[in-house]
Parts: sequence; C-alpha cells; structure tokens
Amino acid sequence: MRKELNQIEYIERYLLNQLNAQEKQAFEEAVEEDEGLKKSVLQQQLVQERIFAIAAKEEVRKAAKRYRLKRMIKPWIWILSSILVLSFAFSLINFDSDLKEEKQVSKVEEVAIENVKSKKEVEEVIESESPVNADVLPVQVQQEPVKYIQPIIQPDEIKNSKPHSKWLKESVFSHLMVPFDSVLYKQNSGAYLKYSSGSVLSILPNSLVNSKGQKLKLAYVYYREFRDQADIISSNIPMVYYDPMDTLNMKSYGMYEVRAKSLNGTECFLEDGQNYMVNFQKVGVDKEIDFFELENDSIWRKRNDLMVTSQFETGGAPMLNYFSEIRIPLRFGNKEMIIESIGTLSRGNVEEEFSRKRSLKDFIVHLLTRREPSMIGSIEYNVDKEFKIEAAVKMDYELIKDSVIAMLDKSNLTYLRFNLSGVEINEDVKSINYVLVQDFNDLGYSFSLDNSLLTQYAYPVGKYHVLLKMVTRENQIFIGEVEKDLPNKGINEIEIAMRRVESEAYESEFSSKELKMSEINSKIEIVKNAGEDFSKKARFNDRILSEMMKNSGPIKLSYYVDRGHDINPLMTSISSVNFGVFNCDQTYRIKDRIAINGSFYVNDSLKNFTSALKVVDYNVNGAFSFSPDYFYISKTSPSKLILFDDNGSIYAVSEEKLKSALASQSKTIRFDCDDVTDQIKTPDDLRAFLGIKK
Amino acid sequence: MDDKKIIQLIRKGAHQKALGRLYENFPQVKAFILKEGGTAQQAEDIFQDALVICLKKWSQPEFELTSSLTTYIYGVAKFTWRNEARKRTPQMAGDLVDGFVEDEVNDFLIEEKKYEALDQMLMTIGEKCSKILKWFYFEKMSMKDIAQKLDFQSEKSAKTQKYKCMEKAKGLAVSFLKH
Repeated sequence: MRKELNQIEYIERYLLNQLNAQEKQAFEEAVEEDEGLKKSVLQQQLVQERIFAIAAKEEVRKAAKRYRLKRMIKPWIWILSSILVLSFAFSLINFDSDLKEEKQVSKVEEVAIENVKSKKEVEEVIESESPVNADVLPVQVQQEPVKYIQPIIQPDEIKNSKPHSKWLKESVFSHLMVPFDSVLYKQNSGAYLKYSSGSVLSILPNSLVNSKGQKLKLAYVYYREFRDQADIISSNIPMVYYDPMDTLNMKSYGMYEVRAKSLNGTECFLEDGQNYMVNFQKVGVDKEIDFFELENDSIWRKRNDLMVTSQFETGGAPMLNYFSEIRIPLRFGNKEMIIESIGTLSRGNVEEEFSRKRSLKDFIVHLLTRREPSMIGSIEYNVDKEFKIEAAVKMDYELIKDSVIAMLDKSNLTYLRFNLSGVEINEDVKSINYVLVQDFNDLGYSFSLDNSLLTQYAYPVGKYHVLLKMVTRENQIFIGEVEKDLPNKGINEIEIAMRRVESEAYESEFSSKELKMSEINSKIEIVKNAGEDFSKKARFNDRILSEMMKNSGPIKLSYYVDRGHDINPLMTSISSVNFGVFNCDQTYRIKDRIAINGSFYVNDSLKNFTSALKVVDYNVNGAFSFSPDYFYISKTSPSKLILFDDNGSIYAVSEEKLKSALASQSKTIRFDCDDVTDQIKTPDDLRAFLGIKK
Repeated sequence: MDDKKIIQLIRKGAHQKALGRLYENFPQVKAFILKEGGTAQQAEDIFQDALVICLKKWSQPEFELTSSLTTYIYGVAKFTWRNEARKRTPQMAGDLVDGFVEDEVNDFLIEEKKYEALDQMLMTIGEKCSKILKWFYFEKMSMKDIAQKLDFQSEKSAKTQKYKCMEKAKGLAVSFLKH
C-alpha cells in the first residue's frame, strides 16, 4: 500500500480505538509534533462523523417509510405495480405513429411560412453589407469596430433540420425538440445573440473558419438551450456520466449547444486560439457545478470545474455566484456544450432496467398517450431509495381519431419545477395538487401527474414525499411503497380496492383518538381565524371538514351545501366504496356524454341556481359537480340531478324527468325540478334518496 | 425489547431493528408538536432529526443511559422543536426542556448547518465508496463481509479500496475546509 494509505489505516485504527496503549501514546506524541498529521487526523475524524450522520439520516428516512407502510399499506396494493406496467406496455402498442407524422407535417408547414420572411431578411442583410458573393475570404480583412447584430434569421435548413447526433436521432420527440435561435455572423462584426433565457452568446469578429482553415466572411451561428427536464427528454440527451469508479446521474443546471454553418451549409469552426463567450443563465444554484461537454459518441466529458466566486445567503438559502462568463477556447461543430453538475446518487442498475424495454422514453410515450389534457407528467427514478427527477413534460392534447396526441406547451413550463424534495404541499390543509405513482418494486422509477384541479391527500414523509395519492383516469388511488409483484387483476377490482384503502388509510391516520382530536382542533382554530365564511375558507380535505363539523355540535344543513365549486361537503359525506364523488375534471368517466346548456324550472317558474349542480350517474356510481349553466351528462346512463339554492333548499330532477328533458329537440333544454328539502335533512337522507348503499 | 437491547442493536449497527422500535414514540411527539401549533410534516421532520441525534449519541461507547429511551427521544424532539420555533418566532420561546439534551441538540443543529455542503460533496464519491464507508463506519460490517458483498477478490483488496475511498473523502473535506 502507498504511504498515504498506510497513514489513513493507522489514523483509522487510532480513531476506532484499536491501538494498544503504547501505540496510542506514541501516535498522540507524533500528532502533537506534526501539524500536518494533526490536520490529517482531524480531517479523517470529520469524514467519519459525517459519513455516520449521512447514513443515520438515510436509515431514519427508511424507518419512517416503513413505519407508515406498516400502518397504512395493505398487501393488495402490490397489485397496482403490475397493472401499471401492463398498461404502459399496452399504450405503447397503441401509439399511432402515423398520427405523430401527421402532427409533424403540420408543424413543418407553419415553420415554412415564417421562413419566407426570414430568408428575405437574410438576403437584404447580405446584399447591403456584403458586395462579395463568396463566403470565403482568401485575404486579410479590414477590421471594423465591433458592432453586434441581433438575431434575425431562422433558416429553413435549421428549423427543419434532422437530428444530427446519435442521441438526437433516437429521440421520439424530435418534433418537440427545442428550436435553434440563429444569428448571422459577419467577419467584421462577429455575432451576438441574446437567447430568450437571458443568456448571451458572443462570437468575436474574424474568428470563424471553414474546414480548410480559411476565414469566413459570413456564417450562420445557431444557439439553443436545454433548460428543463422537458427540453432534455425531448432531445433524448443522455444524463449519465461514466466516472472512473461509477456510473453517475447528471443533474443539469442548463445546457447550451452552439453550431455554425457557412451559407452553403457546411460546418464551420472556431479558428485555433480563438474564443467565444457565453454568459449562461443557469437554472439553479448548487455548490458543485462543473462544466461538461457531450460529443457525438454520447459520452460526457468533464471540461473543467467552475469556481465559486461568492457565496451569500438570502432568507437562509445559500446563493452562489459562479464565473459569470465562461472563457474557454472551444471548437464547435460536432460538439455540444453543457453545464452540469454530477448528481449525488448513483444510477444503480437503471441500464439493466431499461433493457426490459421500459425505458424513459417508453414512459413518456405512455404519458403522452394516456393522460388527460392539461396535466403535467414527470418521470422519476428512485435511485438508492432517493428521488431523482429525470424528466417532466407539460402536455396539452388534441384528440384525433380517438387517439391522444400530446403537444408540448412550452409557455406553461414556468411553474413546472420539480425538486428533489418533491412538490409543494400546503401542510395546513393536507391537500396536494400533485399526484404520484411510484413503482418501488424493482424498477425504481415513478410517474407523476399534476393538475391544479386536484385536491387530495398527501402523506409527506420526511423531506421525501413517498406516500402520495395517484389520480388516474380510472379512479383516485392511494398508493404506497410496493415490494412484490402481484397477479394481474381487472382495473375495476383495483379501483374498488383502492377506494377501500383510502378510507382505511384515513382511519389509520386518525386511529388515535387523542391525535385525531388535536388535529381537528388545530384545524378548527385555523378556520376560526380564517373568518366568518367557514366552509369557503376552510380549504380542507373534505373528510377533515366533516369531522370538524361532527365535533362542533349540530350543524345546519346549509353548512353542507356547496358554496363553491370544489368543496362539496354534502356530496362528499356520502362518498364511499360504493359511490364516488368527483369534480368536473373527472368528466371523462361519464360515458356517451353530452354537454348541456339548460334552464331549471320549479313549479313552472324559471329558477336561477348559482351553486354547483350535481349529476348523479348510476353507471359510474358517482356524482359530478358542474356549473348549472353548462354541464355534462350521459346520454345513456340512468342519472339524476341535484341542485341547491342559496337558502339551503335542495332540488332534484328525477331520472324520468331527465330522460324526457333530454329527449326534447329544443336547443335549450328545460329541466323540471322537485323541491326535496323536506326529504333530505342529513347525508343519510340523501343517500336514501339517491338509493345508494352506505 | 428493552432499552438496553435497543442500545446494543445500535452499537452493533443493526439500526433498522432499533429504529423500528424507536418509531413507536412518534405519535407522542407528533401530538406534542400539533398541540404546539406545528404541522404533521414538521412533526415528521423534528422526529427524524431527534432520531439522528439519538443514534449518534447512543452509538458512543461512553454513553450511559440514565432515563428511558422514550423520555430521551421525547426530550430531544421537544427541545429541537422549541429551538426551531424560537428561531421562527422568538416570542414563542416557551420553556425549554431539561438541560440534559440541550448540548446534543445544539451541536447537532450547528453541525448540520455547518457541514451541509460537505455532506453533499461526500455523496459524490461514488456508489462503491459510499457503500464501503457506510457499511464499515455506520453498520459496523466486517471487511470480510464487505469484500464478499462487493465481489472483491480478497479482504485485503477491499481494505485498500476503503482507504482509497477515505483518501478521496478526505480530499473533499480539505477542499471544503479551505472554502
């Protein structure tokens, strides 16, 4: 062993108290005399302590997970993981590549129209500033003062360009790829491009050459950035770094790509010894950011460390400044540049997992083909039991020939920032606008959705939200850690089972009466402080709200009446294994649905309802909330309508009356309502009225 | 399982078994924090911090148990919570709990803040190194077992690797301390 390693061994024995008395005394004397050795001992002691602390935290987090699981998770939850995997595979088979092509074509057409103008502008610039047609200058040029020009062009060849690197070729989302910004480089003024992120690219005058080393008079410079997971996933950029000892995940703080082409389309280069400059607006801060370069062999190579220049704190969070400009001589052409930090976690056996054809892109395809409009999806890995977020995509959909095609809506990406600690949760209300499906089984990845309309439970554990709820097309599902494969079962069976788990999880959460009361009391306190309008301001989980009401003495029925759109205590109070209560974001459950714009009559007088209308659909076995002005109902399912007025009265449109109203051919449908206030005094009355089992 | 057995488990590196039992104290801590106006999430965080502090303390051979583990954890959690609450709202100080845990909690909170960046750095030393160091220093696993688990040809080569990892980790510590 090397001398240094021998010293480490000896220090370790000392720190672990493994030296005999004589050795210990001799060592301590040596430490006193040798300042270097003393430092080395202290450093090693510090490392040992921190390793212990890191491991202890990890173990405690694991114990927290286990504790929750022990209390909440029932064995049949395991079914979910196998079903999910199957459904992913199924959606892949159904992915309609022709439709994808169709989409691409229309996108290309749009681009082509824009380019007519761009081309013309380019020609004007070239004509006015360049009397020489050739773009290669054989002799020295006169130097002019540096005058930067703004980006003006986006030539067809780049906008419609085919992927040019291995990793780009493999992208299933090449049509969603981040487009280049471009600028005309002129030998006498260089090129200056300010990207939408605020980053600035500067190419110095007289610095570009062709492959023969001849100076170029004019060239196009292309620049783009990959700033978030959606950008990265759409480009299929590999996010793995092969360290000599390990394979590591990379955590990006933003990437940029620079290319240059001559006017005839050949690749250009920086002349040897020349620099270009990028003032890059990084997307996050970290103490460890390095600069990496990705080459065509899809391997990241570390270029250099970025030095931290200053560190200060704002509101407790450390803020770091790096060199604001990166001045590194780089050739470009066949290279892509990246600013990266190596993630702290190993990639584990992800490669092996991917070989099972369940790759990240498969998940994205699944995500694009399965989910409801305006949801946000993300793919996450669970590496070494920690979260590593790999991709996130915001989608809007178009329905074409019964298939769903996803469109990446870049403008909505701003609030799509996931972080390692998961998502924002309003702790007071235990509500969450985020849903997550996790497969802890053996793959270690998870899938999540985000929809601002969803308000559900969340059970955050430590800094990592591992026990969350999933909302699928099928149902709202509570899910936790899964450990084993379970046999495939029909989705309805799972749905029912999951509903049951939700209730059980709730019961389990409040199993301690004391805890339950303290929780409820603290909520009541918050509500009291919130002001008079009790039900409106209490943005609570409905169950907690119901509990509060039960514990606050007799409640007037009007308290149960829905005053807003989302909170619907009367209806949610009858939610059970046999009956679901949904908001209008769950409309897709209604089969053969039609949109209705109706008028409501009570005793032949027109009545204006302002509170939410409930459509009770007996095929779904659930109730849906809508605005009375515009709602959906099934053409074929037996249904009823329930309405509330501001005085706390309840009205119903019976199944028969509903059928006859729908059968009418008039444009505005008339619904005759019966006043059922006397029949419905409690949630049980409502249940009985609707014929629903408890 | 009595308190002594739990301490033995911790000192042997069998943390999960011990933590399973220690987690039974969570409802009590949670109830306290909720009562004090905290949230369930805060209760989780505080309880986890308290457990880390206890693990560290109880691993030390010189530690002698003078109260029950439950009292100890509860005391640590209570102090940690009050300490945090004081930072947020100084007027909410309330009474601090008995002095016996004060030093542990204070040291822990100071060290966590101070060495946060170093911890991040240490987590970049690679999967193999992380495992070796964790297994050896935290789980008290023998080098023979480590060599077997990680497919080293011999215990000796596993040891050499461990020292190399320590060398790497010390390098990170040096760079951290310089800054």
